[in-house]
Amino acid sequence: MSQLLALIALSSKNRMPSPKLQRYSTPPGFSATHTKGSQTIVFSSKEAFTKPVLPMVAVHYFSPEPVVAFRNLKRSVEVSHWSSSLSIEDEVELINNGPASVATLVCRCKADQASTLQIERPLLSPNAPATKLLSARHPTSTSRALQPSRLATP
Amino acid sequence: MLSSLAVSLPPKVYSPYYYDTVGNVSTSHFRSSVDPKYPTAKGRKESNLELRPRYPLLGGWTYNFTMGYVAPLQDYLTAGTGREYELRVPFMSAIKDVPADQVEVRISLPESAK
Repeated sequence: MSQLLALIALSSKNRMPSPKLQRYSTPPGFSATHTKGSQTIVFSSKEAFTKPVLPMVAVHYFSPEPVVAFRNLKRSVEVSHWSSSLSIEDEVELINNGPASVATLVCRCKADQASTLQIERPLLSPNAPATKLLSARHPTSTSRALQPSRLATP
Repeated sequence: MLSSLAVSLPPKVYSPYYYDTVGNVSTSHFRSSVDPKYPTAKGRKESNLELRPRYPLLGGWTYNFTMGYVAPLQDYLTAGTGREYELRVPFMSAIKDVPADQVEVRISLPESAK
């Protein structure tokens, strides 16, 4: 299959999980449009690309909700015909998998990072062929949470 | 930050308890499905147990506790043929939408059960 080298300009609309965005990185060759308070960032390329690109975007956003999970759950069920009752006991080890605070009560300038998550996701779908459309669709999410120190501090 | 957990227990559940490694945790509230003032009333479809951990859980924090309750056996046991019974017990905790890494369930049957 011959690879067509077409000149295309790309634009990608990204909807973030939270409207409060701390900062985001703009890949080279792209300009980002983001209205304050909106959950959507639109990255549009300034010039056309001649070869396939996979630019990565890092977004630092605010997510204070706790994510509850059980590290360990031990359930003990006892059947008693004498009292006609079923007693259930749960031994739970609960963990909050939300964003971890960087410095617990020591550095106030870093307290802002205590409720923020960072994700890194490719701007375009890795499978999008270079010859496709003028405006790329929303990329499939392959984002994962990063440690807070990944983005350069302003 | 997690400050309280809402647990939806089945109706007609009684004597709930909630303790951790230090001792009994009194910061909890249990709303039975049936109002004890009107025991013959229909009642709600579920009982609510609101648990407040001893400390709020920030990101990455863990908390160990034990909770339990007693439910009437008729809701879980059905009689089969002869002396056979079928017991259906909820596997996961009553706390909804919580994933678990490791789960262990132990069912203690009455003595001389085969």
